[in-house]
Amino acid sequence: MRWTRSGSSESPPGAAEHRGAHRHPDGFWEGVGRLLPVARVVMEFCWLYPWLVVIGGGFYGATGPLLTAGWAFLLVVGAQVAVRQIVDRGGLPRPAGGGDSLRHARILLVGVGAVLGFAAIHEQYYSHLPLWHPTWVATLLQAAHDALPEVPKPVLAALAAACLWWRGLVLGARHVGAIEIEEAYKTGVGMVVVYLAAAVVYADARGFEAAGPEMPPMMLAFFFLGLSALALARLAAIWEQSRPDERSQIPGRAWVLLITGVVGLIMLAAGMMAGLATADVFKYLGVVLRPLLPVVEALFVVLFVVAGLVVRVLIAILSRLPRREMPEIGPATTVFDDLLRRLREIEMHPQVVSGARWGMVLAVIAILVAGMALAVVLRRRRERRPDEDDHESVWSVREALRSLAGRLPRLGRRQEDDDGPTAPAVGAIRRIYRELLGLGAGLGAPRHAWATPREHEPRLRGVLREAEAEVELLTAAYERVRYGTWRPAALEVREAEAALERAKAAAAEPATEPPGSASSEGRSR
Amino acid sequence: MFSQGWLIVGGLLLILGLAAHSGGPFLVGLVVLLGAGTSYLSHRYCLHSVAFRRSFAPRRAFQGEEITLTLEVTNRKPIPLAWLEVTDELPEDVVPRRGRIIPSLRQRRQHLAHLFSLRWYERVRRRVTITCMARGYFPLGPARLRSGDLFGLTSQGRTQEGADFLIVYPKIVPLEAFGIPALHPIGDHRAPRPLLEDPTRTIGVRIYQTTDPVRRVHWKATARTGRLQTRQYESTTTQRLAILLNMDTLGEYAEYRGFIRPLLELNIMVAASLAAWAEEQGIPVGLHANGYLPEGLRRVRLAPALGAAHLTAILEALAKVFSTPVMPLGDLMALEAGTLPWGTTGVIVTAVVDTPLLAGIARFQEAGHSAVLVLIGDRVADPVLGIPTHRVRGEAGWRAMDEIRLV
Repeated sequence: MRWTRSGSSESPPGAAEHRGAHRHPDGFWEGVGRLLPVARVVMEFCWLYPWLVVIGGGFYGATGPLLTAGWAFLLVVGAQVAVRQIVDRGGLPRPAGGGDSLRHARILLVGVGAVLGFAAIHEQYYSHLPLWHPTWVATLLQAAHDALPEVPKPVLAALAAACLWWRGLVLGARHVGAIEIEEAYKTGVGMVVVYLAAAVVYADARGFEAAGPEMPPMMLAFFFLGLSALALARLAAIWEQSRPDERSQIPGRAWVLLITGVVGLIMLAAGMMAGLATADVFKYLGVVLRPLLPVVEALFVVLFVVAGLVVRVLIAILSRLPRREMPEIGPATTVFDDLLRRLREIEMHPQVVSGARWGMVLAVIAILVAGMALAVVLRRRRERRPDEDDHESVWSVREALRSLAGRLPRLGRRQEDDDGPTAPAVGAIRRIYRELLGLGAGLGAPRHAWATPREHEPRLRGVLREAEAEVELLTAAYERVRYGTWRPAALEVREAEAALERAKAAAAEPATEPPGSASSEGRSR
Repeated sequence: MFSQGWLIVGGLLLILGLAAHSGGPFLVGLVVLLGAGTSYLSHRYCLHSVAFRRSFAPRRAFQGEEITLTLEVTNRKPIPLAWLEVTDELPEDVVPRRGRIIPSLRQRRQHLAHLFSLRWYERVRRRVTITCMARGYFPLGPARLRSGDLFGLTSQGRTQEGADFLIVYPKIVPLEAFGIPALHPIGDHRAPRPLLEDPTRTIGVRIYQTTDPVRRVHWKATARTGRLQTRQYESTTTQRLAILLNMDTLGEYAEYRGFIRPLLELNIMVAASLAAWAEEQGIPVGLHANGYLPEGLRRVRLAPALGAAHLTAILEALAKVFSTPVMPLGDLMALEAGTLPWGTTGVIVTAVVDTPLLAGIARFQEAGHSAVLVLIGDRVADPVLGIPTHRVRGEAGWRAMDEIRLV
């Protein structure tokens, strides 16, 4: 029975339990698939918000952004998430009293958007009044009524909030896959480039002055997120295609780590290089990476707490072990006792003692980690099924070195080929032909830059009429070493040298043509 | 991603940043260029030092049996591969138990797609159980490897030529009651009734009778017993079987009109079962068919012989034979009549009875051979030639048939 054909599958008996038994990262990639629409919205927010700041600055100068980044983010992402939830559930449940669920969904979305928008405006412009107080709403509505010719800032902020919410709604209703992420990335890069170009050209404009001369860190976040999302979206699409075969799964977490590492490395390398070019960008990187600091700190605290506990448990166990009665130490051990006593009496630097203690803690942590890794490996081996893929390492130092060595001489050879001949015989033929060319040039027939040896041969024959055979022989020899793989023997090199000597002798002899011939006239001239 | 457009964008941003002494454009330009460079390098080297190997065991199988196909990919470079798609071309009659199958543009072929994820310097072996649904001589491959850059913006493929061949023998099913007349009763096959005796096979001695010829007297036994003893010989009969398989399923030598596959496969199955039966019975069996073999485009022509190796050769020929007839079976019979040993029994397995076949049977009989007709399917009419005729009904379908009933 054929149970899979282009993704539409009719599962064979026992496939479900088989699938369940495998360690396949279904949940992981489904999670990635769910996060991609959010990533797409965040990517858009990253390049959109700087423009919002510039527009606000253009209207009202350096009085702060129209909306704070947090509220703007909440509006866009909140709208997207709300729509996505409704779409994924297939709409809202039908109301008890009848009615249209779509209409209810629309009303709900508009209502939530209005509440969030008003909350954002209140937070930024009317925070001195309580949220429930109608005065600030009336003030805002009055300002909206009197908006022309000069739009008050809260009104423009409310308009921006509505636009952001609307954009979130639009994006939330769209399907997001690898192609959409790629489009979003390209659009984002275009908008970032336009922003940066405008910031450079119109650096003294009010809007860009308000935004500040430095690049907003959100743009770096855009690249980080964009590149990571591109890779993950493609992998998720490939995973979706190969879903029927549970063995054809991409291990998700490992690749996320790798992609994050590569993208992080790109950002770090760019930052360092930009720093070398006197562009101060590390503060942006610091801003981006600062949220990670508490995570790192928490990780270390947890590790040290665990290590401390382990040490205490070990000490407690060791202290409860019964002590053996030690036999009397004879005279031979007195030396050892003295040594121990002397060692104890040595006054060690407190830092050394502290270092030794921390070293012990680290050793315990290392043992714990190794034990955990061993447990994971053993568990995986136990869970292994006979039809599972075999993975084995083909790493070999010798092979890697051989591959590297095979690559280096190739580069060297290429260099040699460009520089000159690889064999002395070849070099000799080339030298002889160069001398022939010099001889021809001395007789009024220099080789043009565009002329091949074959094209230049008639001209050489013209000036070396007594040595036509030698010219032909030397040109042919040169052609074979220059354009072919011929390596002349010593005898052939000697023949070529003899031919050159004959040509030189022929050039030295007086012309035998009858007086008045074209060549002799030319030469005499 | 390493396209001209990205290079221009990155370069312009770098120039802009340097010209305006602005860090932002310079940094973004670097990010764009480094991203493009990473994409380019991972694209360029994604299939570098990646090897694919296909193997299967056993190399030969009977129809309906399963074999294990092993796909092995090796990544011998320090760059890991997030995804590597291997699309292996298989015949449609070889059905993998698991895996993603993509229809092929080529007739009666399909693609088995597998996705691998390879770390640096890693080899992955995947085993797929495939069921051989029909007899044949199947090339497995070529395989196409496809991978792409880290960011999934580009992909590139490489076709790995070279096919491995799988031989699937036709199904052998037990024959229910099958009698073959022996025309030339001499040879080394023991007959059920004593028709003639073979003087080379002495089975014992008995007391001389007056009707016994003198040359049958066993003198040594006579001297030992003191009474005249006569040799007793084993009774034997010759049975040589030549299976004459008609690849034509449409009649009147329809070389370019194609074939009816169920009838053809049933033909071949009956021929294989007959050969196996004959081998089991110890009867020398040969095979002649009006179809060509792929090696050297030669006709199927295996003279009657005994032995497991000979049966394997017959089954292999039946697995490999092209489905298109190259001459009428009647002509083939006329050709082979002179080359077969006198008295061979020709078992004609055919789904059609046409004029050339009738003429061929007549010539075959004239040459001193006997003929048995096995008609395949319900459509063909019995020609009533006065020779033993059997019919194999194909209502169960050639794939599902577990026993051949000759009626």
